[in-house]
Amino acid sequence: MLILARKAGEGIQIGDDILVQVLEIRGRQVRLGISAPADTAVHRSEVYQRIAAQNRMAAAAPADLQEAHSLWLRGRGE
Amino acid sequence: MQNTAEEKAQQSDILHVETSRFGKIQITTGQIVTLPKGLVGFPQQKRFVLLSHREDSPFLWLQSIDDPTLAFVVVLTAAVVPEYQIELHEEDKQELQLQDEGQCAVYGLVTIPRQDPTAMTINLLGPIVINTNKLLGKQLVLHNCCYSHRHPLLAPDNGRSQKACCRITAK
Repeated sequence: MLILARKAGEGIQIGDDILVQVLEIRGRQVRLGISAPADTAVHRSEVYQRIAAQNRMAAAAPADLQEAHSLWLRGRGE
Repeated sequence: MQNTAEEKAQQSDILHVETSRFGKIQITTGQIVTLPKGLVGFPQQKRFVLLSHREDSPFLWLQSIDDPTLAFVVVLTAAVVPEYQIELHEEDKQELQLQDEGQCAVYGLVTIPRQDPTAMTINLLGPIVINTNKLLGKQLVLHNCCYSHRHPLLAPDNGRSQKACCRITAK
């Protein structure tokens, strides 16, 4: 991993079209500004990782959905 | 000759797909849902088909066409939380070739724990939006959203206690 020290107001250029700027440092929190092309997805990493992990769990679905379907109907009072 | 050409066109439309759950299934190319970027964590699998569990069931399989073992269970988010709304950015709309928001269906991936199916959840933080005309889809990663990636599917007060917090807006 490349590690760079930056002050507020300074930035990091990634390739030709991605700019990450340190906007503000306040206590334990850093505010970053990210300029990237519209087709480059930018996400908070913990949210992205949470969804990736949930997708992996979802991929291990039971072979049969009948039980889930029955539970659903019961939940609806049907 | 014309009939033969038509027959050939129809034949080329039919696709036999190997699946680990359903064996070999027959679909038409018109049923293929393409997710150009795949799902989060599964970028390689881009072509899927939606298969209903049963006609009277909200559960569907999102079966990969390219990986026989990869299938997800999905439910329309509206079936669980009727007022669920998402924010679609202009980039999302372009990616989905979406002109009219009425064209899209929003699904949530369902996680069913094998030991305890009663604890099944739906992911409302990373919904899958599908343009139902073009059959183009995308999994969104929502920002500033109050919904959970593990929203209980069987909660008795689903849809009543939660207020809509994300709106469809063009940016």
